[in-house]
Amino acid sequence: MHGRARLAALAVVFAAGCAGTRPYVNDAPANLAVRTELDRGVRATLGIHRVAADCSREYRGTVKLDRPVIKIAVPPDTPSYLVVSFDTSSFFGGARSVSAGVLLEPRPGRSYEISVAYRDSQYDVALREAGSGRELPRRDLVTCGAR
Amino acid sequence: MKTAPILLAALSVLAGCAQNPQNAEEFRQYIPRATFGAKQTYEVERPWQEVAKTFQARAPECLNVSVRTVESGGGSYSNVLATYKPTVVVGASRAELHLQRKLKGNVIVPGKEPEGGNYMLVADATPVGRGRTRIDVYAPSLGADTLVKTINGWASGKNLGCPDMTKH
Repeated sequence: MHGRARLAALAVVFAAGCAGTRPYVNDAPANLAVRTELDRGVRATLGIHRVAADCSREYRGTVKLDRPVIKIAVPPDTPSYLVVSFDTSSFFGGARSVSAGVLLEPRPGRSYEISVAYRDSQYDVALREAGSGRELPRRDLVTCGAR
Repeated sequence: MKTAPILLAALSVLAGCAQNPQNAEEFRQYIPRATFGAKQTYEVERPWQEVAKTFQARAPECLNVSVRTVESGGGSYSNVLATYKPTVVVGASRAELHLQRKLKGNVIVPGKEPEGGNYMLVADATPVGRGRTRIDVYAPSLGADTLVKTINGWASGKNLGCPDMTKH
């Protein structure tokens, strides 16, 4: 580490990122509410990946989490892998991002809520089934196929 | 970008002044007498088994990460990969969380490094009766604030968030 001016890039690797991003589009009725609370200057996105029966994943698009509540539709009949990325980059601090992934296995007819928070250098991502409020165990993609 | 250099400096001092602690117990002995080490002790109103479960659930998810730091400027360039390794040990009457960090790339790590990297933090949870648990956290006194705060949140059960390890 040096005291002089520098450019810095830091990345925490929880899950392999995708090469490019595109807006997520799904015109089906919304079944996932994303509730976001961020510190000032922090940006967040939600990447949606469709998970196939063999646990491979297909990137479907990214939603900017720039409002407190955003409702989107995810496939109700197949698991989705949701990757929340927090970008804390700044001019002096350089590029920094941290990501957390969670596997959503929807039940037919149910809707879900995902709470996304970044406060005071700590982040949290929690998934709940709407209505019951039951928090779902956080499962990473590595648990796919383990059942 | 202030905490990372401070933490690196603190860890360098911790690592450079004497032989690096080779296990959690050596780290416990070392931290209280290190210049940039601090031991924090407090009690939480939770059974130690619950604290243990939280450590077991959160540590792998939040702390099993790698952070790459790339810096350039003034004619120099560095590329360092820090790989963190959390370990949770639950015994008959104590839960322990160990965090190690291994640095690779343009970096010199003085002294003998234990397998998995130098110890960065150790937290112990021991029962003190009536559903209360004593927490002892051993960590650098500089630059590890977020990490220690996170461990405290897990111990109390009041904040289960993950620390942003790019800030360390």
